Amino acid sequence: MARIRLLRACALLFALLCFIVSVTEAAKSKDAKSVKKVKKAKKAAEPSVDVEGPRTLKLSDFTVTVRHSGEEATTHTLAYPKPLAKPLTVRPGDSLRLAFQLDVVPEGKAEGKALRAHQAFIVFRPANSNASPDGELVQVLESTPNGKHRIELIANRFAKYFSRQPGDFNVDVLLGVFGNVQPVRYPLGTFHVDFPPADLTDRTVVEDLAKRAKQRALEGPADDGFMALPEIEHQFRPDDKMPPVTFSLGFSAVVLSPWFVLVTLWKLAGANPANLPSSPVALLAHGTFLSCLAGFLGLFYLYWTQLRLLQTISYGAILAVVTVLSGRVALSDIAHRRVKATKKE
Amino acid sequence: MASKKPAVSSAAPPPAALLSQLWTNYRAETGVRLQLVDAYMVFLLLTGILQFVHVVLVGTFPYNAFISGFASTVGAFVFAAALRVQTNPKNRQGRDFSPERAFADFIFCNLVLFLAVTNFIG
Amino acid sequence: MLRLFTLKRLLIASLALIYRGFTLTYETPRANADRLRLIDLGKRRFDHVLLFADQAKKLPTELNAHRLINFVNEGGNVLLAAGSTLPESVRNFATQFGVFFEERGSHVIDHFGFEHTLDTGRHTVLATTERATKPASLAHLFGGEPTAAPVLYQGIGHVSSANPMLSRVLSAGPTAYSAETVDSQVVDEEPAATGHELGLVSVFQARNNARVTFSGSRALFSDKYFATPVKYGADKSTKEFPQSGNKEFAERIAKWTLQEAGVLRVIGTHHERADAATVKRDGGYRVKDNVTFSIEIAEFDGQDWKPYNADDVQLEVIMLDPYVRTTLSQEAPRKDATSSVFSTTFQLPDTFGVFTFRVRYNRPGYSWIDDAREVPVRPFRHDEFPRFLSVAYPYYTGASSVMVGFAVFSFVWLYHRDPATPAKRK
Repeated sequence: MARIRLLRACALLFALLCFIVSVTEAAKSKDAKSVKKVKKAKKAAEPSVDVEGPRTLKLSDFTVTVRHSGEEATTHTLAYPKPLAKPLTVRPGDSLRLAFQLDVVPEGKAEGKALRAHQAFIVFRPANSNASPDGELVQVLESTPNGKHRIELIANRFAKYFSRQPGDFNVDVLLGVFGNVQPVRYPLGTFHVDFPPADLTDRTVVEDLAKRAKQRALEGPADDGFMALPEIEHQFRPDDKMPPVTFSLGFSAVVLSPWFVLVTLWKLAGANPANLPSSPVALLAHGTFLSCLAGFLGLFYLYWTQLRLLQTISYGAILAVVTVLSGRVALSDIAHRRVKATKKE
Repeated sequence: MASKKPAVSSAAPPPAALLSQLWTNYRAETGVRLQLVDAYMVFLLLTGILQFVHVVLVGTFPYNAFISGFASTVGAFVFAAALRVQTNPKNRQGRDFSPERAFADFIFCNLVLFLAVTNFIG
Repeated sequence: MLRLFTLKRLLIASLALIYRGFTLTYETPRANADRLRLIDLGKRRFDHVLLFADQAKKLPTELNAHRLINFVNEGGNVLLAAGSTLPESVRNFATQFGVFFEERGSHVIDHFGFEHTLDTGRHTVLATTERATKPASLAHLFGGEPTAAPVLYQGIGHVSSANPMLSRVLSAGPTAYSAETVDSQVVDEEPAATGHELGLVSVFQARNNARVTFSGSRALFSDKYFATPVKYGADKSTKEFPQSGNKEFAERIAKWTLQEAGVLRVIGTHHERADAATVKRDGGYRVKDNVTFSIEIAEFDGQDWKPYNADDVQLEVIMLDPYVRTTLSQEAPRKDATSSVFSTTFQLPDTFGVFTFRVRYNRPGYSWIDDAREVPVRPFRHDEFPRFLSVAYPYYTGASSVMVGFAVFSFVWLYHRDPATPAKRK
């Protein structure tokens, strides 16, 4: 009996569990809107349709104040939508302050109510596009619930955004609000901002510069390898310089000039190559010997122009054999005749 | 013997006179054969010097060609000097072997030298 | 096969139009892990994943960042459409590619450039014309006409890192910013990115040519946005278009992600000596040889392969550093050609060694091409130098003059006869 009750209780529990699970499943699989609704409990309700009519923004009491350190501040009052009459100069150590009152005025009415703009930006855009690699600077204006918007910029502090390069900037104020309200883009004109040079004794400045350099190094050159690279033409090693051919030919002739000296000296000495043999055998031997000598010279010339070393040595060996044989005969003949001549004396 | 120089004064004679004296003695003392060899040696010397002058002017670009041209003159000069020594009857070596034997050596050495020169001159 | 994962039923009709020829598998996050598994036994089960994930707080494990990255590493393509309420795993996945989505719950807001008819007062439906204009390859694939209809977008923005493989394809207008759309809050902190720096759609092509597209808006692909007429602009300068540019833009995105546009393939390369026909020489290249190099590249347009037209394909001849870099010129195409041939003739440097002929063609939007061939180059043989040098003529004459002098001297010396002289005094 107790068991049955226990079983019933378990079944009930199980059913309850299933029911819970199915409910949660159903809840999960409900439309996204309901999920969104649950999550955005802390956010304000969003009207799906703007119930108010078209409205415009009104800027009043627009002042731009440049306060030089230690001097009187100069204040310019602007009337929207007129920009500054002439460019504003911001020097190192200055502080720049903008302030204005923002109201939203329904169409047709004269007075409106104060409003905090959702988007209240001041945008510095370099006047010449290739001035700074960091692009434009956007700063956010502070606002109070009764519509006062202001911002204070200290030149020192945001110098790092523009890599400390002074220049002209076109300054706009952007104001935007939800709903059927015309947004405002108010070009203030040109500001010439002179940034102070980097104070390298300031550790934060040095760290910031180092961080930026490191970031640039990490990113590497823009699009390296992802665009056509400059062409490279190989510079060949220049050929060795040689003097003109005529000079070389002339000098070759000069190198031949010692022949004159040789012939002259021989004539002076009394050369007399007349000791020629008479007998035909001797003549043959002498002739062969001399032609072998000439043959060697010819062989060397052939070796210089076309033969290979092994060929030369082979021919040279053959020629050498002939030379030796004929030379022995020729030289012994000369020796014989010399001895005979000496004996005669 | 040729006439000796008269030792007249203690002052040194001028170089030009010395040279001409040297020349006359040389012509008189040395045998014709030796003078032939000497002329050949002078010829080789001049050829070598002229090639050296060329290198100084132009630079050593085909260094092997210069070395082989210059070495041909130097080597031939050395062998010619050897021939002179061995055929000079005033030397001991001149009496050791016959001039023909010296000449045969001379030819052999020169031919080997010229083979090397032809190989190296490029 | 194509795998579609969505939490809400969407534009199936448009998708069917685009994805002709694909097999579509449609799953929801509550599906079984077996059906969601992307890689099974080391192989991809699907070729592409379209992940429309902007409403679940958490995606199942099979679709977490790690699995999706593995899928991309294996060559799969992913089209990711997130939204304001994107899950954390999707944010992690995108971070790995250098795409950093804004905070959960934020929208991209543009008070100056919102679409008037679809707007609910929050100015979150943007009509943007900031499409890719450079580099030229990206503009060709994703850019639109200057006078074309803007693209409607509602969702979350992102900031992209300076990675050359990541390209921005759709950016917000110059006055846009990212914030939560709550009346009581205003933007009081300097925003991370505004204007052009705020990205709406970025594309990434991995080293293995797998493609991942990151879109912060799912509505961009919706039927409603495809069909709606557009009216946007500030009070004085409103512009109207009968139809938005979403359909055309979405088609371009889809074609690119599914490897139907901008796909290049190297069919082959060929290199030989320029005078190979006339001068027969054994062995390979030698220093100072003229070499003709050609590479054949084809482009896939979704249907067939056709010739690829370009004028900036470059060849680099590299041995540790590039010695030569020349631009290849495209040869005149044959009729019915399915590829184009780029060729050039250049001279090898006078340094010998093993060179690499490398064609690296990386243009964002097109497949990465990196083709390298190793080529040995030998120095001059000893008999390939000039034979006789004019400057050595004096040495030639000197040596021959010595040899001839030797011959003449030996003749004179041998046959010298002392003239008959009176006996010399010894």
